[in-house]
Amino acid sequence: MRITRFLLVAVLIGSFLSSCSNDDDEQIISNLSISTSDNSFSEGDGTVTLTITASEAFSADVTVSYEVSGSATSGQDFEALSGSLTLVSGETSISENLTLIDDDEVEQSENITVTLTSVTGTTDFMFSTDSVDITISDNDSFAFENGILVLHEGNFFGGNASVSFVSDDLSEVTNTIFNDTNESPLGDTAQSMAFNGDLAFIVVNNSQKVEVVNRYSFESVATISEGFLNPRYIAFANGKGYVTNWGDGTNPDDDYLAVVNLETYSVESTIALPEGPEWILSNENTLYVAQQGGFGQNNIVSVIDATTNTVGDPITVADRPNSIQLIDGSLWVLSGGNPAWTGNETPGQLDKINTTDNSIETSLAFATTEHPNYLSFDNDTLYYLLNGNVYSMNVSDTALPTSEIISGVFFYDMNIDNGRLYGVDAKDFSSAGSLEVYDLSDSSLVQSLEVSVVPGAVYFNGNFEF
Amino acid sequence: MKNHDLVLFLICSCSFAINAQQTSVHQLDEVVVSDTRLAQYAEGHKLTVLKDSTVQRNGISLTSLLGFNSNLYFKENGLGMVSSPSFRGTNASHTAVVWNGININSQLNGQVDFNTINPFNYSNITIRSGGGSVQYGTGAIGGTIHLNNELNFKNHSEHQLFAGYGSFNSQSINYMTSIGSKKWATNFGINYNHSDNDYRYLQTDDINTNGEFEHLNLNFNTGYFFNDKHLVRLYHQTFVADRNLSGNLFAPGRSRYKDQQYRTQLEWMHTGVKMISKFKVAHLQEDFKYFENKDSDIFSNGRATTLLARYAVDFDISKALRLNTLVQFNHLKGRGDSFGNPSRNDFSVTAIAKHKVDKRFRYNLSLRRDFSSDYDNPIVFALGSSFDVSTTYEVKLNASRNFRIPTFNDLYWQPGGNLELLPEYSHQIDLGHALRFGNMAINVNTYFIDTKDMIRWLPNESGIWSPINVDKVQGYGAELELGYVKEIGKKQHIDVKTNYAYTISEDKATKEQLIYVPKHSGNASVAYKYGNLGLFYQHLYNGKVSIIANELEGYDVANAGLWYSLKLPVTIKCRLGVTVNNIFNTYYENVALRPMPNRNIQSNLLLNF
Repeated sequence: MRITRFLLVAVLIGSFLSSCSNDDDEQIISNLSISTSDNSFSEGDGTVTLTITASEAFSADVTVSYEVSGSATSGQDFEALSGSLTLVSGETSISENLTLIDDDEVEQSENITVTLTSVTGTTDFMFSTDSVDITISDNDSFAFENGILVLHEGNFFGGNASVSFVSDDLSEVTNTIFNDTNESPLGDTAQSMAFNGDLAFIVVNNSQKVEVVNRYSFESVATISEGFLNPRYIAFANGKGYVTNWGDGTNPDDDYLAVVNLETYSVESTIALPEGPEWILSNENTLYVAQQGGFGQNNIVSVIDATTNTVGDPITVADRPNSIQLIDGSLWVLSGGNPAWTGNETPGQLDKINTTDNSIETSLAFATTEHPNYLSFDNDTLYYLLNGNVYSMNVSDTALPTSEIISGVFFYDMNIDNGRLYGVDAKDFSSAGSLEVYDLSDSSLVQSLEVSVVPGAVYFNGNFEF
Repeated sequence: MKNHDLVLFLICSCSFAINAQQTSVHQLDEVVVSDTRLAQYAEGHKLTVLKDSTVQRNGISLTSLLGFNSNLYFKENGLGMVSSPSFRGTNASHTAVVWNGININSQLNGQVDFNTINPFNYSNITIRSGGGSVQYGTGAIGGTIHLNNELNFKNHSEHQLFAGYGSFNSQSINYMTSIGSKKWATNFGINYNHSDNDYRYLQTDDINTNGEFEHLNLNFNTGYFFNDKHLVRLYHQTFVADRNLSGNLFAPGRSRYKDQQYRTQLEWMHTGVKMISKFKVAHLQEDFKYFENKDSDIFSNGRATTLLARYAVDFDISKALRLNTLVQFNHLKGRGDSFGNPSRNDFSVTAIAKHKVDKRFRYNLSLRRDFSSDYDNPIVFALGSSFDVSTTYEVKLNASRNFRIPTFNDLYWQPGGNLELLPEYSHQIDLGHALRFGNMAINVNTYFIDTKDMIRWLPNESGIWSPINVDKVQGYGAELELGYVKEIGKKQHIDVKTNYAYTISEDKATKEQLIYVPKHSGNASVAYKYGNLGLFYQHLYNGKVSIIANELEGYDVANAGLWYSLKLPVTIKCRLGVTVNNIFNTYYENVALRPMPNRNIQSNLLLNF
């Protein structure tokens, strides 16, 4: 046993000594590895150098093969690679250029794995590091992320409805984003817009249609042009869209909700409603419709169960409910009251409705000649416009505010976001209107930005997330 | 319609009778013009009379007639839809339409829809350029359009039948008769027009939907001489229209508008040695029903009625001096879904003095004061003078202050009507040169117009649209009118007319040109007659115009036509004609997003017996 082991060692030493004495006959194992300068790149970084290093040079040219895998797509995210390299005899390293493609597509980060698979031309090798992982991050964003969207009615029969985008820092205004992105006009009299996921639905009243776009790119997704008659507002519940329609403005008996199938983008059914359905919002599968009254007047909020598409008992509020908001499970309804010219002037009113049983919890009345509008909120604070003044109150307040926070404004609509009030002024309805931005901490005017003709509503776009 | 159809049609139309004589539609030996003031007190103003031959070229549309033959620019909401003029850059309610001496602009909106006036109903149509509020009242700021019916006091009995048919199922039938003796004269006319108006929008697959219209007109005018001194005349017209209102490229049309207008005036005239006195009473009524949905029976309506009484005296003080004074009382009342039942009494006093200084120089001075219960009372004045520099050259100058009173809609509309409104006031000056060289006539006019307190509807602090006196507009411009008429031998006749207008009309606050006022516009027409055959070509250019926040491209559009006269056995004179409108098949929008008709053909038959 001992002798056998001794002999084996002796043979090994002998063969080692003999290989040292004769290079031509003895071969050395080379360690091959692949590396990059970094593991994460932006798609705009251009070229990534893949380096294959051998610990020992080979005496003949060898071909190193590799495989490319990962979520990135060859030809789209990077230029196709050959899959093999020749390491010339005597050299210890070789590089391959991985060219990243800088596209305009907004996409998630992707990875590329390059794995060494084989070497031909030699058997004297080992892979010490046989793969490298690279993460490519996207350098693109949608044109209209992080900013304010201003919807313009345009002029009735003017065909000049439009959408403007204002960057969050208020430094840039881009007008007619729908028209420019899609090379087609938005239409006539855009009444309102609402979001569902990444999509924006624009209700174009006098074109009798709803335009569906990606809310961040404004690229058109669909046009729903059948089934509407004087469409006003849209909300979403139970996987469907619900569009309020006046029908003929002069006919109080033909008003309805159009139920929109969000897969086929078509109106699949209608639900009859009382006169003048206007603002609509959803609370899970319950829809609330402020029945402002169209050309006439009404004083109820309709309640619709979106699972059955049936209309429940209406909630009676004051005349002309013009704006509604859902705050912490409570529905707030602001009614304007009838204006003086109707010959039956009635006061405005603010109602808080418990959505579990649709009962009115609190009700605050304005003076008979006061006709408030544009109820908005930020956290627990409500805002509304009355006679060119903006008022605010806490949701827990038991009385209406007596003094305004901003005075002397001509808003055609307003909205609140993150401590700022954004009001649109349509000016003379024939020249460019403006977006007026106020800081609510001190009621100061931050900036006044020129937009397009007849701005009628303000919405907010955040960061796009996958 | 394709080209070969057109050619075929032309050939067929030409192949009627060979041997015929040219007819004259009206041959009036003795004429009493209803509106004598128009001729008597027009010093300093350019008057353009449109001849029958011109009228017949443009069929049933006063819009088309004036658009192709005058310096007026029109905004037409699609063919046959509401059409409003802009005269020297002024707005739609700044052109007064005067029917036999009475201003017939709508009490509701201050305008006249020029697509509701059929030129065939009048003996002559005269355009008086420049302000005329002293004589013609509210709205006579850019100029006035005079629709006159003449009564022919001689033994005669004439009948005329005009029938037209063409593309888009356009039908027109018109019958007129004029009969009379030395003591009395009557004319009566009835016409009916209809069009499906469903033309294809060029460059698209869309057609003009909801554009059907039909009009019915009745006219009855009569006069009787009790003796050499006393003449009584009665004028009446009834207009009934039923139109659908077409939409535009982005907003479908689904509404319908039905309106009726009834106008009647009765005048007694006494002719003395030195004095002519006239007493006139008139009743004007306009009714409309607007259907938001043409298939529904729900509508909103409105009515305005005017009762007018006027007494006018025209004195010949001396050979050189002539004085016209008139007092007029208007009782206006309205009722409608949107403006309740307002009524108002207006009273006005006018005096015009005309002085012929010598054979070459004459001028007139005039003054008018209005008294009204509901708005500030305008005082307006005018000065007009003409001077014959030579037998071929006349210089005309007029200056005036004019007004437009707030309309029923401005004052009483609910919501928004504003009883505090002031009338709009305009000051202007107009210098004209008229040259006549043989067969050629040239008119060059330059003017300046300054208008203040213009009424504009804007949302008030409660968000309700309400009219206020806010705009100030300043304008100036130049007009060139050139006419050439030539007879060659006995058979040939050439008639050439061109108009060009350079118009600046700026909002004083913004210094921007008003919307829908082209800086450059012009037209040209050539008519050629050889014996019984006539040809014409007319061309219209409207330069680009500003529209709200945008610009609308200018366009050229042309029409051409031919007619052939033949004399049938008996005493019937017959004329066959065909007109190709928009002969070059040009896509154009006169009002943004409302494409106008592609090439179309209208054929007509005119019988005189």
